Amino acid sequence: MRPRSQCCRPGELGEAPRRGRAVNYERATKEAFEAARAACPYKRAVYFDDGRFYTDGTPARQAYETRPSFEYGKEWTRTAGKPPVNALRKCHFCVHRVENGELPACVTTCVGEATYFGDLSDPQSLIAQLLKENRDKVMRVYESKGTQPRVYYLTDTPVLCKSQHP
Amino acid sequence: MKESTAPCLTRRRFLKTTALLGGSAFLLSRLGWPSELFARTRLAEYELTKPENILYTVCQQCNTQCGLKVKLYDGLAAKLEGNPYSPWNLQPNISYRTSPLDVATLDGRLCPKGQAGIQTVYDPYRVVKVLKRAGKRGENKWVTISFDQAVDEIVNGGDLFGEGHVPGLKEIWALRDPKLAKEMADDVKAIWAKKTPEEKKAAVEAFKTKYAEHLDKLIDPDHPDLGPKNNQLVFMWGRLKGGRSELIKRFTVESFGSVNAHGHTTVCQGSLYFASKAMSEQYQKGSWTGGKKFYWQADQNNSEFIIFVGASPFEGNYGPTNRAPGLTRGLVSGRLKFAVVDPRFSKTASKAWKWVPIKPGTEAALALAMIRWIIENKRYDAKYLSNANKAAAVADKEPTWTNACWLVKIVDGRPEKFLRAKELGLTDEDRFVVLQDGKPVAFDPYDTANPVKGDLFVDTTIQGIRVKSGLQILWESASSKTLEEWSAICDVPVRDIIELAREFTSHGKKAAVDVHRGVSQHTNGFYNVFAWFALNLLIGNYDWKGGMSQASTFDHTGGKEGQPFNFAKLNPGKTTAFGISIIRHEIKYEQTTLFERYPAKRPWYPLSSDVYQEIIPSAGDGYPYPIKALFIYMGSPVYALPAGHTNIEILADPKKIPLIVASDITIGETSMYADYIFPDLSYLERWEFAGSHPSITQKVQPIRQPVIAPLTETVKVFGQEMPLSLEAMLLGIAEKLGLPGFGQGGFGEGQDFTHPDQFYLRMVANVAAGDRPGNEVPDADDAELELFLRARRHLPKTVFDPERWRQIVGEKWWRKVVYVLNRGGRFDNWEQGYDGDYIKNRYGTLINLYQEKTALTINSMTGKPLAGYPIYLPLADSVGRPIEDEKQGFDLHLITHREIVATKSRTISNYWLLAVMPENAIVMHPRDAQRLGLSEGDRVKIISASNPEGVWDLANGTKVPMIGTVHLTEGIRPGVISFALGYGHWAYGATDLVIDGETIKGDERRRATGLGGGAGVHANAAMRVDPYLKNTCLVDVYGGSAVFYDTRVKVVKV
Repeated sequence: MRPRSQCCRPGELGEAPRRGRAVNYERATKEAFEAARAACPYKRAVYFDDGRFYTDGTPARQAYETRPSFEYGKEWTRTAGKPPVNALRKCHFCVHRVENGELPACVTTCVGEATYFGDLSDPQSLIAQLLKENRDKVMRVYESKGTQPRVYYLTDTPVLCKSQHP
Repeated sequence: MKESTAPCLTRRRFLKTTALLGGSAFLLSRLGWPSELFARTRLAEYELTKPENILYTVCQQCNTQCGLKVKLYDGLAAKLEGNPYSPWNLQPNISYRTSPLDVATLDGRLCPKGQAGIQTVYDPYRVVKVLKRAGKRGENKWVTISFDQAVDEIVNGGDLFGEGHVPGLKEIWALRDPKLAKEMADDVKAIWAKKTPEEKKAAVEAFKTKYAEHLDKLIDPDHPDLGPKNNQLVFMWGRLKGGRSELIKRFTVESFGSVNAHGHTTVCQGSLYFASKAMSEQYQKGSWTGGKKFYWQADQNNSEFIIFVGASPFEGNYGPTNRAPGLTRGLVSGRLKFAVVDPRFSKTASKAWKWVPIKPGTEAALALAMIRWIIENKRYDAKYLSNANKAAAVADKEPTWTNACWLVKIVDGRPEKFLRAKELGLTDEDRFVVLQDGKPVAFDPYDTANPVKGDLFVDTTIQGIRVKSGLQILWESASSKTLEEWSAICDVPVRDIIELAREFTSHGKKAAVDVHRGVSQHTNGFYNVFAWFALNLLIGNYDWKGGMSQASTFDHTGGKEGQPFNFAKLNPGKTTAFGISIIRHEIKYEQTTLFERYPAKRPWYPLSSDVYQEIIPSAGDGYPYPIKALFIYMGSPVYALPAGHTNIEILADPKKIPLIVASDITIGETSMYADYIFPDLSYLERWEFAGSHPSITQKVQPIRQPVIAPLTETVKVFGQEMPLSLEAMLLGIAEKLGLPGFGQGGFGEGQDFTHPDQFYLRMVANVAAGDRPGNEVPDADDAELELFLRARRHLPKTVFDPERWRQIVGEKWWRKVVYVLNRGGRFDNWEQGYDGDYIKNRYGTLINLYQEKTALTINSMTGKPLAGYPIYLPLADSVGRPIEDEKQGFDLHLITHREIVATKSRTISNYWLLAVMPENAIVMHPRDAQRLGLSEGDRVKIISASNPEGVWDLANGTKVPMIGTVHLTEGIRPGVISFALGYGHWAYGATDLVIDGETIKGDERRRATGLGGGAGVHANAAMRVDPYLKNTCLVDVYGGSAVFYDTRVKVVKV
């Protein structure tokens, strides 16, 4: 089963969220992962997944990664002996929500409606259309490192922004 | 802090005190569950998107009362989201008809405070057992006692603390006969109606003779209008909403017979409400009456231009979640631009077309300047203003009308009453007068048949009577100064004044002025608000899409046709409370037997109610009378009020207030002075009917309901098990006292009131019924009913019993009640908020540009009549004297602000929020810093003329210095400093306390910087004490506001 993502933005209502098309992770992530590992200052980039979807031989999903996010004052544990708090991690777009037909938490809750989320590989999706229509207003940070970030910024000053995050 | 010789608990042993949640059986039993989860190797399903793990309720992390979607995991509140049915959380909200089975994966928005609410609910410092003080007031030494023992002591009194006799409620409940009470109440009204002092005196003597056998029931037989001794029970509250408010009033006013049930309105927006009340007074049977306690806000979803004055909807202002989306969409699409008038560059200002850094306190000057320019350039809506009555408004398709063209008599050089047609001999009926092309015409303001328009600017004499029109009076006030003179007062350049006024009058009805505390919490707050709302009247935007809207709710108390439970008829033993209240509200000083001279000993508030800053200080002064017992519910006047420190001395003295009982979830800055603390349920464990706010145009009634099992202990009252809560406390005391309206037959013959559910479920049924027959919600179908039951499978019978619930509401309403509770309340669909060019739920009647009732009110502190029209008043103390602390070297002007991550007193326990902003700062302009030799990060103490030491004196040996960290920014007006509310605590888990002999350590993350903690500063104790009242902050004697923003301070480097 491939992860699916909801392709509407908050405020777009009516029918139940559409199920998007499967994301081709194998191809996209391999290159990105290689670049991320090269770019990571700690040389410790690891995949976040549990081997179900993405590639073979990746580490099993850690217990803390499956726990619902409401623990209060509880000491986190990690098999390597170090707590995950203050460790470098990457946003996974709330994959646990996305897999269940929800939007990432930050997208859902933003009162300024600042973000969109969706399946870029689906040309019908809002996000694919937005990026197409605003090609000259799009930037990503640190493109030169080849990590293929999945966060795109729409800005009236893409050249300036890019120059500050080359 | 004194060193404790008692055994001290380490962080590990902390958990062992069972009085607080941190040591309760609940938390101890749940500590093991995370490892169970680790043990599961298969990928855990994300349970939180299953409909049966979701319940809807209402957030209470601030007063915006956004909808809440609570995701439950094994009975614990795991994740909070917004409710998609609610227009607060999703715009447009989904259709109310949508099944909850279909929306499990659709979440609404929720601000950071809302998200962090889990930490309020599971705060280890939450009180779960009844506490009685074991030391002196405020010493913070407590013992746990049984609920029954606490109730017994409170009702029976006695030498409860080894300090002498404490009166119990049974003593205070002196007048118990409803018939006698009604007779006395009527006779007191008759005393008030007497005109001369001699007549009044005679009436008092007659009263004493008539009731000779009952004089011992009165507070003071020589002043029968103080009322019965029952009035010496005072119930005050902080954050209270519907449902619980009816319960508290039932207990205090209807059953116990005390007039003293008072809220906190004047510490919030006070004068904003009461200026709007004055503008909404209607003329019925010869007098001005029916003014609503409410206000208006801009319809941000449709406005083209808004001026926010002292309001920041991206940070507060009821609130970001519901207002920011409409504002943002407007900015993005180009529909909207807005200006922000605020000494501070708020988040809202950061998106504004113009930021106007006005001098605090001079807001009316800017409004009057704009009014002047608009009138001079004839940019007002003449058609709207010329409508004198309803028929004329309707003919112009206007939903409201005003008294701009009505003639006002000028008596002794000042505008006084409206001219009556009788005085010109035009008619014998009670009519007002306008001029039409110079000819006087009589009219009835509510006439629907004969449209009457009037000349706008009238200044003349008719039959020897000097008259001016309402608009003429406004013009004269606005033109009493030139634009340059107004500009010099408020320090807004003339060019900006004109641009604001031009823009405001360039969008038809789709422009609005939206004001909040920055305008109302000044000594001139009432007139500030009046001036800004008069601007809205100049373009007549009330009830128009994009203009001004008011809140609209579904009634829960059953007064409408078709509703099943009319609470007005559900208290058969109801008595008549009477007499002057402890805050002297809604009564004229001159009418009472206490009238002597001006100034009165303390202010009287004929135009206001819920004057929070008066309750404890009046009790301290024993004026109008001393009190015997004070109940405080979810309120912290010590922390919340400006100069709240003045309350401490009074609370700490059992001679001033012999009995203090608090209903609270924690031991806070005020409840630490209580004699008894009854733990309450958090907002996720209980009921309320949360009401609405003016910027929400749909008709709504969000309903707070239990979504997790109660975390307080269970007690038995009237033979029923229920959790410790406000309800248990009130019902328990009612049971012990034998109070009518509670217990068997409490609602009437065969209708018991022995459990809180019987109160609240009836109200839910009323909401389900709606406004009128035909307005009921549909029945929940079988699938919804099944979901309803399954989603509540974790709730104990003490708070959820479907059989009991069904019995209470009856078969006819049961499935409708389920329907409503399945959605977290009742919400009209988005499009039902509007009707073509108009707002659907209209105010729809007369708005007073000139206020006759106000003009006939006398200022109890000066003996002078109030102005009935907007004026500019400079800063003054309660007797009208200027305050010039700047001449004593207090060179900075102190204001406060709101951050979206903190509410006034109750978010300090939310570590997720503290992670974003661990401490507040003293925000200062670099120019001031340079002048004072300060740098970023310096620690300074704030001092003022009324607090030269710069400390909170807790009256228990501890003083909390008001020390904070300086943060420099160009985003504040030079000369002004500000701090964010919600930080710098010294209770609420911030400092040590002793329960049952064991010391509980406080958490320095919550503690004031001045006490060595990391949580910044709370500088309300620096706010100016009124020099005449001496134990109260500055007040707005017209509207009642507690003054936050008129203090001059100094900062001293430490």
